[in-house]
Amino acid sequence: MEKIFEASGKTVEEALDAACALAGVGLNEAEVEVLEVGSKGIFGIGGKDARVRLIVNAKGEEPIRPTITKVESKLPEAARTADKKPLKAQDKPYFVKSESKIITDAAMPAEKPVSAEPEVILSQEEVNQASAKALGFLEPIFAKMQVAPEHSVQYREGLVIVSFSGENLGVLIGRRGETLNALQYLVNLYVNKTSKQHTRMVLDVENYRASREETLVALARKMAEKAVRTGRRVELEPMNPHERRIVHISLQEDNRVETISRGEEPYRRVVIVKKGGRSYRR
Amino acid sequence: MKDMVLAIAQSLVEHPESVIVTEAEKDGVIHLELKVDPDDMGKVIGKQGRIAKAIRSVLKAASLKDGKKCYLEIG
Repeated sequence: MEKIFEASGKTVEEALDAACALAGVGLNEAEVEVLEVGSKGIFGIGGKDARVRLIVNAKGEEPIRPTITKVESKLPEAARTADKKPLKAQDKPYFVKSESKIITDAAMPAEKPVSAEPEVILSQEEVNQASAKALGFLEPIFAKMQVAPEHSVQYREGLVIVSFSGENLGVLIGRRGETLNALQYLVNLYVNKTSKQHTRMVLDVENYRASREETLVALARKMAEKAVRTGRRVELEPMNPHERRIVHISLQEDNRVETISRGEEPYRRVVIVKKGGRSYRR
Repeated sequence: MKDMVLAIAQSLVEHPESVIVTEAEKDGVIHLELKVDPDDMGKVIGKQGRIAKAIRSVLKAASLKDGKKCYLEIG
């Protein structure tokens, strides 16, 4: 039996919180549709509320954790309003505007938005422990790859970022970051194997993450132009959730096009569609 | 290569003592076989083989330096 809940809020984030509270489920237990992204307006005037719909499958999935997203609202109000842009909303992988029925990436468990999890602030010591664990895990791998990179650790936006620099680190990155992503995935598993809380680890090599993001944004813009020019849908190559998110976000402000994710992991890909174009059908 | 796979697998499982990796070279290709406690199979394979895939990616990168292909069998 499916149950449908709709709720609205200032941002998609808040709307989701409200909807989850209403439905009494966590985000990962329901399918999410973003009905309206909403906008902040200027100085709080003329803003439009975000609306979301939750589809809860009540087929005996027991674990109901109505409080899962509550922690979020304890964030200082300043953090929410400081930026002119809807900061919280931008953290999420949605992109659809008004009344569309597309099920966003948020519906995929693997792409559960970061901010949906209760934000746990790690102490310096915990950050050190996590990064030490990660480095211990990576040591035998680096030895085999014959690299001995320098590392630095940062803690930013709930992520423990371990960056490496040195000579000949290409082997750590691999084609399109394949090796780096594999290492990062394994490190996350290892670091969180025993702990109750989930520490999100990010591995970076010689600023690869930033330059990849730049590449993706440039690609997204170029392909958006192509979609507008030709009126055809443009399919990008398969990407991981993080990379798709970068693409979606980069085209969010471009109101000539709409972006959707299609296909199943790991072949899920972003499709850019010109609004009102030939391939734009609902 | 064997040691590396052993180290990775042992880091991921609940029973590191039962992890066994055997190595055999055939026609210039290194065949590795990873065996773990039956309860730990999921820990080295993962949902839709995601962990296995990650281990193989790392192995592929590491074996580039040796110039030898590595093939990893799990089970």
